[in-house]
Amino acid sequence: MTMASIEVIGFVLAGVLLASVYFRHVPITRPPIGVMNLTDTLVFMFGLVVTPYLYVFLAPTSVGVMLGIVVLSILYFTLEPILKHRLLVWSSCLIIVAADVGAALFMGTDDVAFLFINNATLLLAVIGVSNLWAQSGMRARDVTILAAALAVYDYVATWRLPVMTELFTELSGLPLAPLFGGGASSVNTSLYLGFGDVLMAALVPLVFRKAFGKQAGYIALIVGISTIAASVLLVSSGVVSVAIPVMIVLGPLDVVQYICWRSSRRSERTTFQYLLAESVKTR
Amino acid sequence: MLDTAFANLGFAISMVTGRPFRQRSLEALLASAKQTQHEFGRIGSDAEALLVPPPMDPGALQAVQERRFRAQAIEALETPYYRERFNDLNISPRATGMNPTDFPITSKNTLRDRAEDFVSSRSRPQYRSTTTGTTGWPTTIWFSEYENFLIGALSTITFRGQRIIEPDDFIQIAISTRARLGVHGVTFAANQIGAPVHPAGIVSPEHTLALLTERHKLPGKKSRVSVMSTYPSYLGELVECALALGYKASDFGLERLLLGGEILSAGMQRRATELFGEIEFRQNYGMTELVPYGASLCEVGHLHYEPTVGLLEVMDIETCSRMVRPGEAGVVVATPLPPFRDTTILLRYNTEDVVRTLEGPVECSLRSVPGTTNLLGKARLSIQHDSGWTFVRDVLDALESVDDVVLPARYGFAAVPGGVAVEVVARSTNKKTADAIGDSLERHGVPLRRLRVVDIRDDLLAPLPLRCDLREGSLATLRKSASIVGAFGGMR
Repeated sequence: MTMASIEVIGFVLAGVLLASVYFRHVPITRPPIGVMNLTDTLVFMFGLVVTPYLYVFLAPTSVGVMLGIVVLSILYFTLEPILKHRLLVWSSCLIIVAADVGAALFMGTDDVAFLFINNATLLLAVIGVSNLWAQSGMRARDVTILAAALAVYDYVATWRLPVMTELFTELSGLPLAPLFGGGASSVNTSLYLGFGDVLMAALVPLVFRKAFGKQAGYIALIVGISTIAASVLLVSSGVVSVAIPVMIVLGPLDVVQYICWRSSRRSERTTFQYLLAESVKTR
Repeated sequence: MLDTAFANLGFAISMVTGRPFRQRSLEALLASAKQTQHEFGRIGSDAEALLVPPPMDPGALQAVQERRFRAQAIEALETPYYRERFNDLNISPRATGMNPTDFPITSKNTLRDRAEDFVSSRSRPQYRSTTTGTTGWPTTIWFSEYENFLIGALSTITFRGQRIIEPDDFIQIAISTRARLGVHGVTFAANQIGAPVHPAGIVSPEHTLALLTERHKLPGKKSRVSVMSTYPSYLGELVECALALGYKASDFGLERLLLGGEILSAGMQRRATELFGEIEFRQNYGMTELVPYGASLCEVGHLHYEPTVGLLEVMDIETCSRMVRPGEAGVVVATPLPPFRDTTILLRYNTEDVVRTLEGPVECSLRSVPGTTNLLGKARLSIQHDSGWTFVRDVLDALESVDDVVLPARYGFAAVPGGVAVEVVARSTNKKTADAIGDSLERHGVPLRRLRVVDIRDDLLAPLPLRCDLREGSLATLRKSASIVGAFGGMR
């Protein structure tokens, strides 16, 4: 096991677990009307298909600015329920983004310090986005459809088209890159894991816990972390020498879990039922 | 969420530009609110604020209202009444520099006499609504399907946003079933929110009390009526009847009373609370002619009028020709603005309802929304004397605060030299009761010159009409009447 793989798996583990802790204890600020539904999931999927092309074809500066805006807004809604005061929230967000950009500019994007800061920033983003969706009432059915669609997409984009490889190459040189990375100082040790994979590993346990209960949440959490850890280890140990589309494994596993829970529980719980059943702080 | 965001955007665009609402946007908003309620058990407390445009500075607000008013005045050219009136007065709404005050006031009588001359030739009138006619022959207002749906949708947004109706509530509507819009608004909202609703109408107080105390076993719903929409005068009848029949607070499950159409006195609130226990009184100001324009009562008792829905002017009571000064009493002259009305078009409608404009700094939570005091009464019932004005509210507040006055206060008042003469029904006509009533009137600033206390309603010389008298029969009542006829006169 390399240092890079330990670092990446460590961040994945922290992201997934902290997302669950956040889900249990921090009510995120959501719009007063509106539930995360299948349309949102499909629109997100469409965005996911289009965005890599934008990243590849846009000038790096434009991509950097886009990433900056997206990360700033994600950090804002992640930290806002904890820090409360607007000034404090904004200053924290700006400091984090400035640290990431500063480290990329002054130390380089292959520096250990930059990777650590960037991984930590992404960790916050994983916590925020997974909770925004899960706490906005996303249904297990929809997250499963998303996982299945991502599995197909990941397979095509990674193994059938050059998109994902080009995207990783393009983004790894930018601050705020949506890639968990480690060991980037050398080509031989470098390891990158897409933000989307970690997001799904964090999101599915939250949604399954809401919909089907603690047990479903814990199993999804273990499945997600194990799948990613196994993929990382396979690549870092040299057993596999090509990029692994994590979702082609995680997606079907999520589908299987959904089918099992859906047939045993018959229906999904709403957020209200989940809050009542598990006595969570009111949202 | 994205579909909700687009629906919100569509709603906001219509609110800001005055373009008609798209029914699909409204339906999407209602569906989204329903889904949110289902998923989270409730919708966010700031849901209503999401749909209300942010406060504007007075200059910007005036510009928006004048632009909307002009659009409505141009639409008014499609109505026989305003086309004729504008010709007579040589007014062109399309001319530049026209202000709302350049247009004539529309009186209640004119609308009553020529209701269909106010209907736009471009409209599709489908629903006839009439006023209850407590002050004369009912006035007809025609509405389109668009307006009908919009009124229901806006009622839902208000009731849901302000948590006036919750999904587990049991609603009873105790207003005249002829008050179609009032019934429609509550029924539509209750259906959308998922609360069961019973439009029981104005039946005998005994019947209504039996309905209020009846136990239900509907799954997920409260076991007794928890929300009732009614008139203050009918509430008074219920209080009196319940006390006479020995009901107590534990017999009821009422939590909220939605009151409108009449003035609710402080005495009525106190006496209703003594009977029903702690209940929430929700008052608003609205009328069939102006709907959906109206006002909400804030926590300190001001009426606040949503400026994007209508234009409010408060004009002097005597001539209705000048805007009143801050703190002065005047009549509400209102214009429902586009995109809220497209069938019966009204410009500068004189409601004859008297309010006072607010003076000094306003500190309530709705201070950014134009406001007045609560309703004081009808202009034609207001009496001017040496020390100022006496309004219906002054007299009603004074009378209903006296426990010896039977609820609802049945009374009349008239101008006499130097002040006001009052007649009222009380439990007793003795001196003690008369003194208590007289003292209360004086305390409420009524310059009492003559007081006539009677204990029989029919002895009143000129009583004010009350909406509780819009009584509807029930089969039980009819059977009771039939058996009485049978007992004394035989059935034919």
